[in-house]
Amino acid sequence: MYFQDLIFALNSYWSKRGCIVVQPAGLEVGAGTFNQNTFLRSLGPEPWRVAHVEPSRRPTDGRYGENPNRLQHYYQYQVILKPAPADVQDVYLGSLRALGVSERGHDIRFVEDDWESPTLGAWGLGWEVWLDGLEITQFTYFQEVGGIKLDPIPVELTYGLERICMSLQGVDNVYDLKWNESITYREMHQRNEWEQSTYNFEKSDPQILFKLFETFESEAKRLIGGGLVLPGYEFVQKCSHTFNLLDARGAISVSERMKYILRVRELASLSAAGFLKLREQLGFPLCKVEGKC
Amino acid sequence: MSDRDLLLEIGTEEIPARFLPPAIRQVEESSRKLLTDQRITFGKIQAYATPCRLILHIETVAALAETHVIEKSGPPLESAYDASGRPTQALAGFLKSAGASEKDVVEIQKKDRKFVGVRLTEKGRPTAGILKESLPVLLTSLHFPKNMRWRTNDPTVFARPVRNLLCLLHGKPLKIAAFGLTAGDRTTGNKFFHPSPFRVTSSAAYFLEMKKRMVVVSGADRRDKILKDAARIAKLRRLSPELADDLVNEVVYLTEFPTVLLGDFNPEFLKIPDIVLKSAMSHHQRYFPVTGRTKGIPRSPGMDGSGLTDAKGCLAPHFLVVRNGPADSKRLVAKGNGRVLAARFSDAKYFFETDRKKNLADRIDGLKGVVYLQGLGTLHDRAARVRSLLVQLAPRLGVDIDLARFADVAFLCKADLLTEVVREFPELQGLMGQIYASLEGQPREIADAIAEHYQPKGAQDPVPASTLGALLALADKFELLLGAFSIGIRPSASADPYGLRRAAIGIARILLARAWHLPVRKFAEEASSAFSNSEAVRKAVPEAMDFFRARLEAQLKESHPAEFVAACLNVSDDPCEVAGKVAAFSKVSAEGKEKWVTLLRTAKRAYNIVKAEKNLPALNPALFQQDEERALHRAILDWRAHVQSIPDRKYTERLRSILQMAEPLHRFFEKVFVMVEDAAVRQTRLALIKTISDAFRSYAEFDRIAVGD
Repeated sequence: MYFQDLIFALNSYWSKRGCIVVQPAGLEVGAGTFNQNTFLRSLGPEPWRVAHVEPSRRPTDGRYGENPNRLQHYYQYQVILKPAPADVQDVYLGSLRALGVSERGHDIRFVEDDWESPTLGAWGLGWEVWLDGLEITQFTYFQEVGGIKLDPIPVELTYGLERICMSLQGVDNVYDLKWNESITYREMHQRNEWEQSTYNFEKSDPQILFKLFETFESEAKRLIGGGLVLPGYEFVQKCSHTFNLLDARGAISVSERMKYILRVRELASLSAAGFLKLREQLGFPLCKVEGKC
Repeated sequence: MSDRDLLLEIGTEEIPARFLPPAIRQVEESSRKLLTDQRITFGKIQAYATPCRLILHIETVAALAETHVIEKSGPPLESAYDASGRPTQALAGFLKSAGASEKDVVEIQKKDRKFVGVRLTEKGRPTAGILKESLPVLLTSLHFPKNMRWRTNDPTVFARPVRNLLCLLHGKPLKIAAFGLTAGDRTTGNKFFHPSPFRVTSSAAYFLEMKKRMVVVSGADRRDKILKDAARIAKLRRLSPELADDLVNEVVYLTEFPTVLLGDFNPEFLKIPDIVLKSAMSHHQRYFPVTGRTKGIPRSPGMDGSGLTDAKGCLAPHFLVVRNGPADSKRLVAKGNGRVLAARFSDAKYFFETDRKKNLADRIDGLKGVVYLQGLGTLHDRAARVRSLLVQLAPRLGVDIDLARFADVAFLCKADLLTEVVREFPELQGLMGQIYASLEGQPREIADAIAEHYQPKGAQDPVPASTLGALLALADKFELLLGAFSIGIRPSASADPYGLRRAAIGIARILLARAWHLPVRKFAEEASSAFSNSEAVRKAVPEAMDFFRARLEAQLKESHPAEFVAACLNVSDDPCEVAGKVAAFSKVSAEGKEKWVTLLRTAKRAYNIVKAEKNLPALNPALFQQDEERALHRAILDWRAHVQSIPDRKYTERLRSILQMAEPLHRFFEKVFVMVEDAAVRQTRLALIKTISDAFRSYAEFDRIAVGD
């Protein structure tokens, strides 16, 4: 299965199960969890089902395109089901079957994973899903987001697309993945990995990044405080990514690290509270669409 | 034969393995209590767990709770009947409220007064009704280390979502309701191979059907299967598996139908140190490493962890993985796992090779960039303090060691914390430092001390084997303990994230194992000067050392009677002295009971008489009145002369000599009345007793040991 067919198959599978299939946010994020379709929409009583690819950036994971398994930019497939259906594990296994993974020929395991995002003030319980020992999905029942306890409980499924595809194509090096019949992952991404790793580790300018962090932070506060939660939250995401860049550059000492995390977390909490208030003022419109909650 | 059992299955999504053994005990204990409290008789109780189910099986459960008699007391006898013997108003009212008639009346004696009352026989309710009310409470009050919610508008929590309930009482479904579910007689087998629900008709049928549907219900059976499978494969391939107990236990609770498979990896990876490969296999992937008798490829010196790996065989380029399902006919599972392991090993190889490009010594400066604990500076500051404690310790303990050459190991031993391998495999701290140091050509003493300074890591872990390792471990643990206490960190009963308890026990074990005599409190006070917050450390010393003393006490109690430990604990600041005396107590007390008891009695009596006395005059033998006084005094003088000939640390001999004093003192007490009117005579006698009592108590507090009359 080509890389792009993997995406088509997941889009089609989740679309048939009532998810809206959307496009990525177009912002630099560390994971799909930062996307407002997850972070903000997990809050409050409204039902929500969404699926999309999320190109994700983890500057510290860069290896200049030399490591067969580690990338600073990679693709997650993000699914949110709220409330979590009672047969969610079966539905998830169905998605693997849709990708051609036979659960009887392989060994599939749900391995304990307590998920926590200090920057988002969020935590949940669930598993890493292992396919023959390979972690292919994070499966999490969110309990709290932005410091707010959740009810109903959403489930988040985050597929590691490269890993699944490597297993399906039987290749040991991510750059050998076939995106379609003629183009490999190498053509598309290896140079970018080298350039971005060089930027992240060597060439980024910490002074500029520190200034950007401050600017994004104050913009986020100003906007959220003025009731513009959605653009405000975009600045929160920019703040978080800027922190990740500073971290990769080694510009933040261990003792200061926690302080920066707490600064982002405060912004995330403000966004969450602001968004919940906004939906409440609107009368939680999606409750009416679904005729419940 | 008809089914007289109760069978309950809670079907869940995968519960973490480590939660399950405690959950089994909880289910057994709480159900035993429930039935006992409800007076329902039952046979054997047995609970089981797999990742996806908790099972309770109770044999021969009574259909009805036992009949029981309740007693209700009414008015006093004298006011229950009138003069003519007819029931009074009071009795009639009582009978009415109790729903009884006059023929039920009995007399009840309470203290010295008689009352009337009734005994009513309450017939036991049907078990089914009782369980319907109480089982849901039992289920929802099971607790786990971490819990979650999953249902809308329902605050109920469990380790993971509960998706099915099966409950059979005497072969019939018992419709208990919990977690938004109603129990029935249906369940499913192995999630992947037998997912269709099926009906269960009896508890016996449940166990048979489960087996057919690839669920081995009993953890003990799964363990057997894993061990047998592993042994069979190993024998076939002439390999020996390393089946660490805790990993086997974990895998038992990660699977419902375990099947062991043999996987392979490229022998090229054997160039990476064994401990790294083993960590990647067991910690990260839950695979069992295997060793073979033949060498894979030639290893460079130091690669095997310098003698730390067992000598039985070399790591073989294979691993054992336990799958949750049947045999892997197409070898997809073994191959897939092999690919994952290869990716991990590639990472490890990259980390190891990267690490080798920079010497440990060149990393020391980097410790300045790692914050240790708030208020205690960086890891570099910590290492400097460890070095200073190491330098103080060596002469104090009389250890002859070339400090100019070796003291900087205090910095070197933390340098591996900045290596890539330790960042990826934190459990290898120290061991990687040892490997890098020996590959860099550092002396053996230094390499070994780096690994050993974390020892003992637990109750089963040995103390450092080398002298330098033991010194460094002591310095490291004192620094940790004093530093942490100085900034207000205290271990709680349930949490000790900085390992302070382990550090204190480590200090005690090392000092005792080496027979190193160290006044610990005194040393701790001196050590405070090594800290920049020395005043705070000095203030924390009493509490830190009380904490240490409590650990020492617990340690000694493991092999000696508690009261011996209590008697010796407070007389010395030197753990070796305390331990030596406790051991002497155990030994000498067993040598003759009568003498021992006499000693304890007289020591206690002597202490009780003089403990409140202050300002006694110096002993004046001219004031002795009786022969027994003179005899006792002579005995003391002889004894003193004898004791002086015994070396201080011969604790057993000293105790035996103390034992010799018991008899003369006993005779003195028999014949001499101490508390006479004549103040001078009395004070002389008290002074004599006090001389002995003080001598006894300088050895131990004998009065803390209980002795019968």
